[in-house]
Amino acid sequence: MIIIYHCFGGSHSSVLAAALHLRLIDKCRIPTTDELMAIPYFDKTCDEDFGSIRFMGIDDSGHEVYVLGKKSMGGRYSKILRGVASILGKEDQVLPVDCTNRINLFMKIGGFSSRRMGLISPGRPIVLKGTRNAFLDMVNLVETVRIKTMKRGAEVKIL
Amino acid sequence: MKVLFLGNTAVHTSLLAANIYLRQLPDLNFSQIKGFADIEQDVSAYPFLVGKDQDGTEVYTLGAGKELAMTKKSLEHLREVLGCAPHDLIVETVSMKGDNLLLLLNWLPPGGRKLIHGLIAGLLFRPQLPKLFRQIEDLKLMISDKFSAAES
Repeated sequence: MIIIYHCFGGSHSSVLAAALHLRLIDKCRIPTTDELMAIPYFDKTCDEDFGSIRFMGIDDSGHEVYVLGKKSMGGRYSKILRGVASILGKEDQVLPVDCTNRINLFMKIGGFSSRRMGLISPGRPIVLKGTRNAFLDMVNLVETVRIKTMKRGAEVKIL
Repeated sequence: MKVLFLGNTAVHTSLLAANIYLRQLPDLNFSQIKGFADIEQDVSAYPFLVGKDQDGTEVYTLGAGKELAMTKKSLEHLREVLGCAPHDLIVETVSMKGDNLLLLLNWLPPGGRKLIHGLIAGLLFRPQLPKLFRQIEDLKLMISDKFSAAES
């Protein structure tokens, strides 16, 4: 299965969610600045990356994990991705996960300053603070996705 | 093969383009096009099957608001990620002047909205149809050149 975590810029919340899913960072404690900055793509994307489905890794159940920045398209983008997968006969193979409902004001302000305006030195500390504040919410989202995808894997095995 | 016309909505410019592709545009009378300006159909955000051509190509429309180029890029990446070939799904963005105005009309109450949409779309789009016809002909040429060459 293909799991696509998506958020506004594909640079913070979706990347954090994918990193948690792939166990690139420990879910049991709030990560440090260095640990967050070591995540691939974290606060490193540019405008050309909008719309790109970028590979992050393969999880322990064999699912491919991707991230995507979809601007302000909201939950509609999940439906679009699922719908197009369905006309290709592969709806069951795609799980888009919208991360935008887990982000906070610090992430919005910091992310906008750092990525859209290029103001990295004031924006990055703000987005890092916001990311730490949202960390447990992201863990919760990712664990839900992991359980969902494990169940799907089990169903396939039974069939 | 599947051709997906990506417009601001699935029921305006993209639907015209799909009908032109299928050569079933009825005398430029938009109200006779099945689903035209029926914005309720766009809400699901799922591709809308318009029909099949004589070669069995399925033609769809999809609404992506203002982010047409970005959505096209995502769908082409998705096609790749799912292991499909480029000719399995061809995504073509279509737009005409006035598309954004029609997006604003979505705020009108449901009663009469379809009628107003149809009237305004007719006035706005009719003069721009020749350009859309040319785009579709170019697309058909590209498909026959690129994919028939690939198959042979």
